[in-house]
Amino acid sequence: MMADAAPKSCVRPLMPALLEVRDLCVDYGDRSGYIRPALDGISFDIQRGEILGVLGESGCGKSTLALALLGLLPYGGIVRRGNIKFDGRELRDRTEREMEDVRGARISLIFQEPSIALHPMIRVGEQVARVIRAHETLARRKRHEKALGVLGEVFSSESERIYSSYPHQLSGGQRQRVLIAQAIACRPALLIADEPTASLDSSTESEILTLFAALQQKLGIALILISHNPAIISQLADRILVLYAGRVVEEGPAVKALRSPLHPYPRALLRAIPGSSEPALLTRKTKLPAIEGAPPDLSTLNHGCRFEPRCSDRMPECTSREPLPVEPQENHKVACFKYGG
Amino acid sequence: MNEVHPVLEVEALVKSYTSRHGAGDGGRRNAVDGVSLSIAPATTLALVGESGSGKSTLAFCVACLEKPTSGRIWWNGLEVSLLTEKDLRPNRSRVQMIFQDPASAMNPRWTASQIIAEPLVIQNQLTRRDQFDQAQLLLERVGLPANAGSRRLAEFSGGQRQRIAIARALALDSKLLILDEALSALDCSVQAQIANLLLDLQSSSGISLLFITHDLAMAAHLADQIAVMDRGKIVESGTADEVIRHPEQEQTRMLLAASSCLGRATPESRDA
Repeated sequence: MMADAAPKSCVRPLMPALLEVRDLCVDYGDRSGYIRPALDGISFDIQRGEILGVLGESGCGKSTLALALLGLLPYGGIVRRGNIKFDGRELRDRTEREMEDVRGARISLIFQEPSIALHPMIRVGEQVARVIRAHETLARRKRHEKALGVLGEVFSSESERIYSSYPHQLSGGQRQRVLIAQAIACRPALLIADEPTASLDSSTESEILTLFAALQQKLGIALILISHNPAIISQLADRILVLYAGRVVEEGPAVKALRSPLHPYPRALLRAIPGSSEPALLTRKTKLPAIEGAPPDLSTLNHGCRFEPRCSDRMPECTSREPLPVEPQENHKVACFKYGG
Repeated sequence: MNEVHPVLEVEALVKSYTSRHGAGDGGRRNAVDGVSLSIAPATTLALVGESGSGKSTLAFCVACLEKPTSGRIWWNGLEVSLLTEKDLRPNRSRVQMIFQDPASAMNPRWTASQIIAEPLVIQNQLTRRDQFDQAQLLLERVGLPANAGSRRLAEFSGGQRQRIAIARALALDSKLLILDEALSALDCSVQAQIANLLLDLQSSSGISLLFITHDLAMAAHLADQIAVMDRGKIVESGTADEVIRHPEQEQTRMLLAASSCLGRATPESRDA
């Protein structure tokens, strides 16, 4: 899968994209009328069966993007502008009732914290069966057989024991697998995983990522993998989208964009990780080249590039206006004045 | 012994828990199973292992927050495992602990200054005025803005909260900081900032660190010594160099392979 994943993104697809997001803008407002933008002009496509990695630090809008795609923004959040076209149909035109048929059946979401997403008092098999009940008319017995079958797809063994377990009897990795079972039970076309391994240790993390790769290959599900960790994204993604302060700063093929990113932000982000550019032992006990400062407050933005205050490559024109995305290399877009933006 | 005492020394530490649904062995399970280690002044020991390997239990025992089943613990040559709670209390300032989620150990209604000054208040050191001034100095030392002192927890990001936790731990001039997955919940860029802060503090004040993590790359970056823990035992230990370059145990190799950054962030393996 790894070997043939790379070329896929280089070929212009003939079929329309599974998901087309255009100029998506999301704001959060509160009762006093204070408005804080969270996403500003996000555009991207995702093809059937493709894995798109969304990389960015906390507060850059990654989770807002996931929630906005599913129409699940919390109170105060509104989509101010833009289009979300899924399978050829605009999602924003749909009523809440119609969205319920989409969520969990056509697009599924996996949250970061599996212990919160599961009901503590219901056996996990029943919780998988309830997702099936929400979308399909099946006899009780058939439904439970199906739920058991789905658990069998995500657990290599013991799926029957898991089926009748309560969440507290399972480990973090097992709970995450149950959430994945719920998410794929109705064979969605798109799965959105928001920091799916945030609470897991490193070996469980790689097991879960391997499972995603296997499911994507077996079921042809497209995946949006959201993470702050380039290492996680590099393992799975065909293509990546780098978000900074609510905007896309870079988009390109994962292997290329993670090995030699164009935009100063992902470049600095990779440098800050011990062992990413040279072995951690060689740089031991020396200062890591951290990106100083923090992402800007989006309610008080200046005119220029949003990364300019923290950027080591800043130029005079960076404060004049926001850079526009340009495509200096094929299928590899960047929003930075260094490339003409 | 007239040479310098290790900041922390642990000998044959065992901590067992009884589980009601215990299987087989009478329901007793050794979470920590005969661990010995020592940390010299101004050095860092990284304790690496998967979840459930007993890292946190060991940390709680060496910080005297849990009573070990057996074994001995010395802080700067003082055998704390023999002390009663009453005799231990005046010495508690020597070892401070920082958790993955610092907010869970802070009062959300307090300002950052109040949180940082709390250990001074508890130990009844300094006047009110000096406690506040001291908190202000600590804020600056951990790289928080000077006006941060009057803000409450909700106004700080995860990285800033971790800085507050570090400032509070430094309030009493402790000799050892135990960091239990203290970087794990932070963004990569913020991890680097906090790692730099720890290195700064170590070189300026000679504090020792017990750095507990599952990220072997960060361990290799920060530590002088690395100990690998598996099922309650230390299966491999040595200088960072030895452990990373010549891992002897399967467990270490597995952690190396799974480690988020050693060779994985550059996706060379992808197009092989």
